[in-house]
Amino acid sequence: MKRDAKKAGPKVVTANALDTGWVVFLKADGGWSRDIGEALVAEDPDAAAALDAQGLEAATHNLVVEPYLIEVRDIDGRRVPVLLREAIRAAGGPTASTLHRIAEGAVV
Amino acid sequence: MYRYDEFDRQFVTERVAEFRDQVARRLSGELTEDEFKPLRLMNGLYLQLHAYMLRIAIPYGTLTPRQLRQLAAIGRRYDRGYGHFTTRQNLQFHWIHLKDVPDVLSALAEVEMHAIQTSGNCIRNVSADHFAGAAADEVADPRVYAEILRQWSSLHPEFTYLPRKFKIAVSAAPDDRAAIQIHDIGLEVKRNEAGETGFGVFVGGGLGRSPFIAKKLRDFLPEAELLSYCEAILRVYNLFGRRDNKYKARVKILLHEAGTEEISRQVEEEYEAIRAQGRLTLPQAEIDRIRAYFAPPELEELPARSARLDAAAASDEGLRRFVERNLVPHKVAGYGIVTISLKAIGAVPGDVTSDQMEAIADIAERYSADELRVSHEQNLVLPHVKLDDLPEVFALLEKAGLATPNAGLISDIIACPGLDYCALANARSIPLAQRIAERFGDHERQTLIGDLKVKISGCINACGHHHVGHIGILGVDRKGEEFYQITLGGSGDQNASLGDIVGKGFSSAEVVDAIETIVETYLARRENAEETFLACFRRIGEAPFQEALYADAQ
Repeated sequence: MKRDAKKAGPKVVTANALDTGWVVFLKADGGWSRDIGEALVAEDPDAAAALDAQGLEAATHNLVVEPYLIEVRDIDGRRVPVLLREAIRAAGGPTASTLHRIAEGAVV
Repeated sequence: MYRYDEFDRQFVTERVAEFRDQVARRLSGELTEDEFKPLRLMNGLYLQLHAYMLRIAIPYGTLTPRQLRQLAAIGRRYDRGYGHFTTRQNLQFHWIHLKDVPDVLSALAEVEMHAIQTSGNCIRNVSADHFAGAAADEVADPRVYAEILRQWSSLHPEFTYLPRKFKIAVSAAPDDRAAIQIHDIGLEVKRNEAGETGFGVFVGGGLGRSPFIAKKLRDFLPEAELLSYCEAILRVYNLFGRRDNKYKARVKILLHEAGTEEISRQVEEEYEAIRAQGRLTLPQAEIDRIRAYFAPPELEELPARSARLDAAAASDEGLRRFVERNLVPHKVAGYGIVTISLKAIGAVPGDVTSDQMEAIADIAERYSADELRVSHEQNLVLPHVKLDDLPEVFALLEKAGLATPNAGLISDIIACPGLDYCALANARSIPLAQRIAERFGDHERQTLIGDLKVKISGCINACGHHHVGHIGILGVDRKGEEFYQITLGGSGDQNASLGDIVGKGFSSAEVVDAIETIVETYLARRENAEETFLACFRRIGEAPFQEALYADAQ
């Protein structure tokens, strides 16, 4: 996975949980949550690099698989990924039932 | 169908135990992900966007009700109560937990199934005509040869680390329903003038970022030479296929770069060397032994038409529509082959719930000689239904939400999982398939349009076969937005062709309107109702469609 901590903009670390494969986000206490709203946000490149390193360290402890940074932004007080791919991951499942929300521009 | 012998049973059981140990070591941290990944892929286990996905092989698309019930039980216990049939006659579970995989594989082994060689650079699940063993137009049962190939290619030590994955398909009818010309090896079972069985051998077909229709290397390969010739092809590919660039590693690229004549020469040379040894020449007794596993069921002698079905269809509009679209002739008079569409309007193409799997298993057990098939078009098939029984079969399918009368119509769409599930995808396929099906959902309108194959892929890897869709749709990512590129005139049948890109792509908001414009252009330009979309396109070319689609831009 390309590491892009230097790119501007707020970021969070995401991965897949080793045991379930579910999408998870790194929290401030070092734990992992399925809710992106609970993710620790890195606001600048230095913080992003540190967060990225924390995610990679967690992978070596076999809690998660392939952690990486993603860009996020706030829309109406909700934290959402910038990219559609990550928005679909953050939603926790296919978009068929959430299609309209995405089509309304909440995440794209 | 083929039943495991003691060797098969022992091997699969040992493989499950081996993977159980590997999973335990991964969960304990003894194995890193880099160490574990190739091991899980060898057992069909991928990590996708949301979860682990397990891809289960359904050899040549043949399935028993007992196996389908077990898949239903696995879906209910270990997944989310459904499974997804793919364009390679496999079944995928998209929500499997890693710790459960060994138990799932063990449950599969109980019904003689596994997930071996559904991933990796090896010979994948051998696919075949989904009407095999029942079709009125087949010259032989292609599954006999698919099974011989399966046994030969399973864990073949020389072909476990090929330059890239390798797919084989077998058809045995003039109407190619197995899309053999878009496979690495496509085999057409045929008879020569002397009545001997043999194969037309096609090599180097494939889709993806560099699509090619296969080249015919042999017009008639004698039956006994099947494995000698396939081994020669694989050996040449294994030696000379590119390993420096995964995008140029398929055998289609080798043929393209070295030339068909040169590859043919090398294959023939290798074949002669193999044949001289006689090691792989198929003994007739062995062919007969395998053929016995595929003995046709004992069916009654019946009139070709069923008065009972005719009377029922005359008073039941739904049944009449179902018969018109989802029933095709059987080789035995008084029987038919029934397609169970997994494309209800607005549904996810290829998805089927555990409850539906059980309903289908019950129907197959009672009304289809205990047999089922899976099609590469993401539907299921009841191969041996007595026409007299069709009213009951239809009623049971209807009760299970499985009686959509749209086989081969515009809403019978092939769609890969796309960006809703797949880590490789650039755009979504499923929601687009749903929107197109809903736009054209009216049965009268679909019937007016007639045979039309729409195929959607969410990325250039082309799992949705968009290159050979009459209307093909490729999802791309353009600066973070989903766009869809349309191709027209593709076909995966015996007259295979690759679709032409019609012009610039369409946004997600525009693309369904674009499909409607294409369909309306066809309806306006066809000579009569008998001229299909594909025939019309081949007659008039893409210009009228381009004019209609891009009139404003011009």
